[in-house]
Amino acid sequence: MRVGITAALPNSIVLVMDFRSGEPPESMGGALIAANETCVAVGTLAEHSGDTDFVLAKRMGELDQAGMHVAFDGQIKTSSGEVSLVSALNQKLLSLPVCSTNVRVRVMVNDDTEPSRIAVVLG
Amino acid sequence: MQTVDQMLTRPCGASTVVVFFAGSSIRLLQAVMETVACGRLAKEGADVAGIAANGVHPTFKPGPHAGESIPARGPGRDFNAAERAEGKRIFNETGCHTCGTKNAGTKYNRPLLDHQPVSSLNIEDAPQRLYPQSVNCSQNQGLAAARKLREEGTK
Repeated sequence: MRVGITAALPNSIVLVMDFRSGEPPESMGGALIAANETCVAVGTLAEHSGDTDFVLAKRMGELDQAGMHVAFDGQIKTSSGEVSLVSALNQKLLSLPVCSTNVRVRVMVNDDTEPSRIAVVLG
Repeated sequence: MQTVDQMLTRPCGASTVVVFFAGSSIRLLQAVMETVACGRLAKEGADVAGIAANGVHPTFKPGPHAGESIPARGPGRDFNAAERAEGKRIFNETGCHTCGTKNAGTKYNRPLLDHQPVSSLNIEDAPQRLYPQSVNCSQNQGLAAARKLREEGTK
């Protein structure tokens, strides 16, 4: 199962979290990706530079991985049975159901500073 | 590739302390040291100031490096060429209004244009102005705005 969207997001950032219980990190720390126990924040292509393609998938095999690499591999805690991509305006963009309260999150990007393609694999 | 554990334990840069010791109050320095002590990420100036600034994130107002600004046509992000060019000119002179860097962190070093007051928090529709901002400070603003919106229950 996979879902996708293309957008230029405000503040050039996307949040991977349980929309109900996630808490965004306090800072990016100058890096492309920052995370805490409940949320992974990923920098996107600068919003004035154009759209970024976002994909949320359950399996790595569902992705077109050409030109992309794993930039993050960790876990987040969830409570609602769903993980979403969320904008800085706190708008839910994409969601997929998950079975566990501790969800493995892998983030794939095509660039380490301004990715125009971001794929998030759950589990 | 970074794991969660690596991110949570990444040491803070020494430059953070130096920057704030030189330019800010003792109170702010204490906040920096507390931040270092609890192991939080504190690489960029705006990150640290956000924890110490009386509950108001430093990106929610024109920053200490703010110079000229541009009147915003509205809260939209459909900036025209003239606005982008003027933002770039101001950025070249005074840098990011939040942290002062002249490295926008974007392709072609083009800064982002930041609405002040911040659009998502401008519930009174106050007139807005545009200030050039680095992508790092813009992203930190996005994190802070998302946290605030969630705290206020405006999901």
